[in-house]
Order: sequence, then C-alpha cells, then structure tokens
Amino acid sequence: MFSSVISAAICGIESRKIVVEADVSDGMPVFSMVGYLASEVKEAQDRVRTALRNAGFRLPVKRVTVNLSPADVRKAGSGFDLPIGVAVLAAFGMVPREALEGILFAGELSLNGELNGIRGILEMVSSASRFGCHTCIIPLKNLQEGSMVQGIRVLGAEDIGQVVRFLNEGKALKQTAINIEEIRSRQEEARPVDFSQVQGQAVLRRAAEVAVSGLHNLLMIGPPGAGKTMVARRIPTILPGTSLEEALEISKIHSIAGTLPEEMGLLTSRPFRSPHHTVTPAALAGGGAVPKPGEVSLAHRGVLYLDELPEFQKATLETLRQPMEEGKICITRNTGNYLFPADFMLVASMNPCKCGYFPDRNRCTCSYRDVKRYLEHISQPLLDRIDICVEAPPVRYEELTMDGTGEDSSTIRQRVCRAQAIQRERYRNTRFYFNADLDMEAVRTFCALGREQQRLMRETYEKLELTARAYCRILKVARTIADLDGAEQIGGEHLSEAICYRVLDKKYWSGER
Amino acid sequence: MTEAENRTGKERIAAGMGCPQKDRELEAMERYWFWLCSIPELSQKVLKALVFYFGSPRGVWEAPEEEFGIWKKTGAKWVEELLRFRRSCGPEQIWHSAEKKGIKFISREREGFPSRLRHIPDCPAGLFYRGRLPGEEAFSAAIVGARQCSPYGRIMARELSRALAGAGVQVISGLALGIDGTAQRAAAEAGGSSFGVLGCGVDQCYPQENFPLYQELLERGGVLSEFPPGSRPLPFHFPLRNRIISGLADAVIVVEAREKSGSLITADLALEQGKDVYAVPGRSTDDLSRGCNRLIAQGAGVILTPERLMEELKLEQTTWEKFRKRQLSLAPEEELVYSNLDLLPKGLNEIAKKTALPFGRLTEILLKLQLKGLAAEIAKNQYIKSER
Repeated sequence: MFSSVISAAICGIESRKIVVEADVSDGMPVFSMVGYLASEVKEAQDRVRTALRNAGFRLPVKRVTVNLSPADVRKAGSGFDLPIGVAVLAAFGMVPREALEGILFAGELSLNGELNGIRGILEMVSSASRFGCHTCIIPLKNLQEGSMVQGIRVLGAEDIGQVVRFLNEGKALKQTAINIEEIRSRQEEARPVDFSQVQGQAVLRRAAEVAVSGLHNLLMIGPPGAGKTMVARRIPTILPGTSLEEALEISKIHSIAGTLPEEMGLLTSRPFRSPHHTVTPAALAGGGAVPKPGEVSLAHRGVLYLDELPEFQKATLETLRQPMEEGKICITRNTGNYLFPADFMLVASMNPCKCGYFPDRNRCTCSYRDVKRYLEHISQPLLDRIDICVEAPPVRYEELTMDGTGEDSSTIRQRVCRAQAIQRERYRNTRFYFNADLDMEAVRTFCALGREQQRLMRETYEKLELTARAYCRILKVARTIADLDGAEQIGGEHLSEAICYRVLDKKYWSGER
Repeated sequence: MTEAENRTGKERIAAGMGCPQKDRELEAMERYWFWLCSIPELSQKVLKALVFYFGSPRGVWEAPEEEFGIWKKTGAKWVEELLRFRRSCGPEQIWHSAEKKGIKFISREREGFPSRLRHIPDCPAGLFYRGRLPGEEAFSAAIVGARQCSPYGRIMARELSRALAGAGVQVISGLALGIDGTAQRAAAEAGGSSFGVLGCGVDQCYPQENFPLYQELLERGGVLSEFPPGSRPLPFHFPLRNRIISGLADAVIVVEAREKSGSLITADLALEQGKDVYAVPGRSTDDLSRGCNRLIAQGAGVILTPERLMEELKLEQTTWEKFRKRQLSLAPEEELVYSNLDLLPKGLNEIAKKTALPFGRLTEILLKLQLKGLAAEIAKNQYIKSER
C-alpha cells in the first residue's frame, strides 16, 4: 500500500514543501530510503523503526520503501522522523490515509517514541498554508514557537502515540494561545543591560545616540578597559522596539540557526552579536553545503559588534561589504543560491595602536611605523561605510564613583524614536528609510546647507583636507544630529559635531603631520 | 703595475718636497682616498693605521699582497675583506661609477673639508655627500631628539628649527623619524638650509618614510655620511654618525631624549668636542624628557623660548619675527577652550568636562580653532594647541 505525508525542508532561510512517500510490498524485510538525503536523514530509518516498536506498533514483515520528493532537493535536518513514521504507519494501514490530508508533520523521534524539538519550525509553519495545509503537527517543545503564526491550526504532540491517536480517534492534541504583548514585556524585564549602568563617557553616549538615530555605523577608538564593549552591548536597548513583523523575521532566522530560546518562542528584542575576531568568513557570512545563517544574518535588525577590528582577517571583513551595502547576503553553493537577510547596524571598536595607549607617550611604546602598520589592517572600503568614529577615553576615578546614574535607555530611546519618525516622514515615497541610506545625489537634496554653513563646510573641507566621501558622510551625520534636535535646517553646531565624528584619514591617524 | 701609475709615484715624492704640482697631486690622491674610504666596514682606526704603514692611500692600493701578511697573522677579519675588495675594483673605476650617481667625496686632506669637523678627535678620513656641504661662514646648529617623540617635542622642534633657519642658521640633524625629521622639515619650509648626516650610504634614504625630505635636502642643503655608498644602516653606525652631527655644529640642541638614548650620546660627544649644548626642559615624570632634564642639571643651556635661544646665540631674528607675529583675537568661549588646550593631547571628554560647554557648542569652537590653525587633532578626538 502506498501513502504520502507533507513535510518541509529548510533551504537557506526559506522552507520547501517535501512530500514523504512510503510504500509497503511483499519481499525481504528491508527498509530503504531514497531522495537525495543528508546522513542525518538516512539515519532516520533506525530511529523510526525502533521508535515505532517502542511505541507499541508491531510492523509486519514487509519491504518498506520511503521516498522524499522532489528528489533533487537535498534534505537535511532531523525533522523528517515524524513524517516518515506516520507515512510508514499509513502505508501499513494503521492510520487512515484520508486523515493525513492537509496536515504538515515535522519532528524528531527519540527511540522511545517521544518527539524532540527541531530547528526552523517558525518558517515551516508560516509556509504551511502556502503548501496547502490547514494543520501542523509539531513537537510539543516547539509549540510555543509554531503558535506565533496566525491563521493556521498548530498542534503539539508529546510522542508518536499521541499523533496516531489523534489521527485514528480524533483525540485532541495540545494547542496554545499566544499573548505577544506578554512575551514582549517579559523579555523587556529580563533584559540585564541598560545605558544607566555606563558611568561617564559623555561623548561616547552621545555618539551612540546619534548613530542609532540615523542607523549610522559606529567605530569606537580607545585604550583597553575604556568601556567600549559595555557601550556596544547597550546599543540594542536604545534602538526602537521591534514591530511584530520584525520580531517574526528575527525569530525565523534564529529558529533556523537554533539560537531561539525555547520557552519564549519569539525574539522581540533586537539581537546583539559579537563574533570573536578569529571568526572565519564562512561563519560570518553563513556557510555549509546547504548554508546556515551566519553572524551577519543573526544580527539582522540588530547590532553586529566587532571588537578589536584590526585583529579580524582581511578576507573576513571583506565579506561584510555586500550586506552593509544591500542589507542582505547572497551565498552560492552547488545546490543553488541562498539569500539571507543581513540588515544590521555595525558597531566596531579598536585600540589606537598595538599596545593601546597612543598618543600617550609615557605609556605607548609603539613607533609611528607600528601605529601605521596597525591601522593598515583595516580595509579602506570598510572604513568608507562607517559614518561615525569616536574616541573612547579611559574612565577617570571621579566619573567611576560619581553619584547618581546616567540617563537610562528608555529616555534615550524616546529621543531616538522621535528622530527616526522625522526621517520616516521625510523619506516617505523615496527608496530611503534612514539618513545613513542616503547616496550622494540624495545628500544634495535632503542635506542642503544655508549660506553660512556652506562657508564653514568649504573652509573645513580645504583646511582639514577632506575627501568627497568624507564630505558626504559628514552631511548625513549632521542631518541626523539636526533631526535629534528637531531642527528643520542643518545648523553650524550640527555640522561641527558631525565633523568631530568623522573618520580620520589614515595618514593623520598616526599623528605624523 | 702600469708605467703611468709608476710615474705618478715619483711625482708623489716631488710633491712632498713642496713643488707647484702639489694641487694636482692632491687631486689625484683624492681618488685613492675615495677608494680607501669605500672599503666596506673598515674602521677609521684601521684606516689610519694602514695609511701610516703604507705612507698614503695610494700605497695601500699598490702594495703587494704579501705586505698584508703581518695583519693576516693577527687574524684581523678586515684583511680578507680588504684584499677581496682590492681585487674586485680599483680607484678609477669606483670614482667614475660614483660620479655617475651624483655622489661626491672630499677627504680630510683637502681644502673645503668642513673645518669644524677637522678638529674633532676621531675625525673621519673623508666624507661622501650629495647636494653640498655645510658652509663655513654661517652659524650651524644641530637639533636632535627622540624618534618616538610626543606632540610637545614635535612642536618645540618645529618652532626652534623655524626660528633658527629663518635667521640663516644651518640646521644639522640625522634625518631620522621624530624630532630630527621634524626639525629638518621645518628648516626647509622656512627657506633655510639643512644637512642630514646618515648612518648608511648617501645613495639611500633611511628611514624610507623621510624620502620626500631626503629629496628636499638635496635642494636645500645636502646629505652626508662617512660610510661608503651602498652601506646598510647598521645599528652601530648611528652612534658613530652622531659625532659628525655634533662635529658639524656650533651648538647642539636636544629636544626630547630618553635616558640612554642616541641623542644623549650626541650631547656627550658635543661636550667632548667643546660645543655648546642646549636642552628643552620637560616634565620630570615624562620618560621622553628625562634625558633633557638631566642635561640641564649637568649644566646644559635651558631653552625657554625660541626668542631666548636666539638672544643667547646672538642671532638676528628679523625674518623670523615677521613670521611669528600674529594677532590673537578670540571670542570669550574660544579663549576658554583655547586656554584649556595644551601641547599634550587632550580628549574630547576631558575638554568638555573642564570647559562645561554644551557638547555641540564645544565641537563648533574646536572646529573654529582648528580652522584658525590654533588647534590640531593629532589622533581620533585628541586635540593639542597648535602654534602656527
């Protein structure tokens, strides 16, 4: 007898419909599986057979053939155990075949028949209606996550026995209702970091606020122990909260990568990723025969923090160019092209020299050549995409022991939201979202200067030997500062603050003039 | 041995007797001096001993190889080196190839050799140079200091050098990174002349970073060295060349020096040679000023301002005065920020705290000061007072 069950496979960030077919015929008792399977799927036959036996099903001695179609898509992941099990049972006639109509199955089987959680449930469930399904049966452990999707019935089962009883007798499986607001507030409360914990660092705080308001990329330069990482960690807390679509988008990626917290089922806060500087290009961009999301995608709609920027391999940093330009990354493998979203805010930090104390000559022993060599580690194209660069000075004792705390994240976030609302209003009907997105042409339109400011900019351009690129970036940042101020026109004050944040030309970084 | 060379040998004896051919004789001998000085890694001591033994550099060239036997017996390494060099090239050949490269040479024997240098102990037998040699009439001062200097040292070196060069003083230094290069660059910018004494052959520029300066010096003065063309900048060359820096100068100015630094060696050599030594004082806790402060404690002249130095050296400061005068008219807030700046770099946070100005306003004032040339950003958000 023949039966078929609907399931799904994750390809990159999307899921594809997979039909699991099983056939039982007379012959030697062989269990054979076909359909371009990864080794974890090939191993499924042992898990399924044992699980079925331990769940109390006696399979007659017959030849079993399982096919996963379409046959040209590589199937990876452990979620095929349940659909294979159900298909086999249906093929033996232990489950009515009509009952399988319009149901998507996914889940990993344990040898005792229990169902284990798998990755990528959120994406599978949200594509289910596209596959023509009205119900999804998934492991109970993934129920919270799967139930985030509206407009489809999502059922959670503890073991394969429950699934069979549901199909045979209509015995109800567990369902759960989701209160997204509650999840949001729970995550808000659980957040351990806040800007009020940062002592001193007035300049750095301000720069972070400006950077977040216009979604500019930020580079912090300072000696070890100045609190660069501390500030970076708190940047996601002053980004405006996520909308439901954004939360789903973020959660899908993390669900596929297996970094979604199980009890939450949804990530409502913005991600903060800080890969170590030994990270490989594949780990940063996403890698594998069927690629998994890399750090750039895990930081989607959040912050990617690169500590000790010059220590990263050049090739690794080069992979950042496409995502920083386009907000997504395209990975090509022999199994096809995979597009991952990667729209993040880059925050990087570095020491001013190898020992970290330049230009304090009493502590820094680097020669100018050493300093230059250190700076040369960073590629110019990457620097060209960083709008704000700021010093992170060592914290002094008075600041450390100061009474009272700094502003907290929610106060700063309110100002940021206001500035972003102004930008949304201004860029309605254009292809831009934030000031950081503007190109040279748009800068001319949206960042026009008054006569007075033009004179100042001209003088600065000549005196400080700016480049055309630097000019463009200064205007974008000045626009953001003006937005924070609620000002219609960019004023001299806004402009000079932006100039203060410019990325220094490498030849001047080393102090050799 | 060709006959022509034999003949000049006889003339040499005639020259010793003081006949009018002396000049031509010296001219001819110059090539042999050039050849002798070109022998790689031959110390001045050995060189003098050889000339004494063989009578003249020409004698070293012409002597049969057996005569070097007595040195060979002592096991001296340089003998093999010398003989190998002697077999590979002769005076004429080496002289012409240097001429093609624009490298000039003067031996101690000849007129035109810097007379200040001639009288120091351990004077080199000859100097290789490009450009020209320091003039005899003009006052010459050496400005030396640390390679890894602070912005304070850099500015002091620049100011002093500019003042001196403006008054027509020849600035001598070592073309190194840091103080040396800054001083020489400032002298060239002020339109003065400057001379770089190298620790390698004059046909190469060490360090590479100073190549533009090296080129400028060929126009504005010269580069010179006792080491033959092609010599590499070996570490032991530098203390040796320091004696030439101080030897060529009438006064030696040390701007920033750590204890046990090359600049202090130069100062010590200057004292031995009987030259005046001046030092720029610094904070007693700064490593980079320890050497200078010690020199002052030992009796070196203290440099308070370029003006005072000029007075002390009894130099005219006309050209320089014009350069220097500037009307400072600053708004009260600008004055506040400017007075908070220093020659030591200060961070934005610190300035903001001291001046208590709103952040936007502060950046505006800092930018204005930078545009007026009164402040400079020497590293990311690190500002210093700039004297222009």
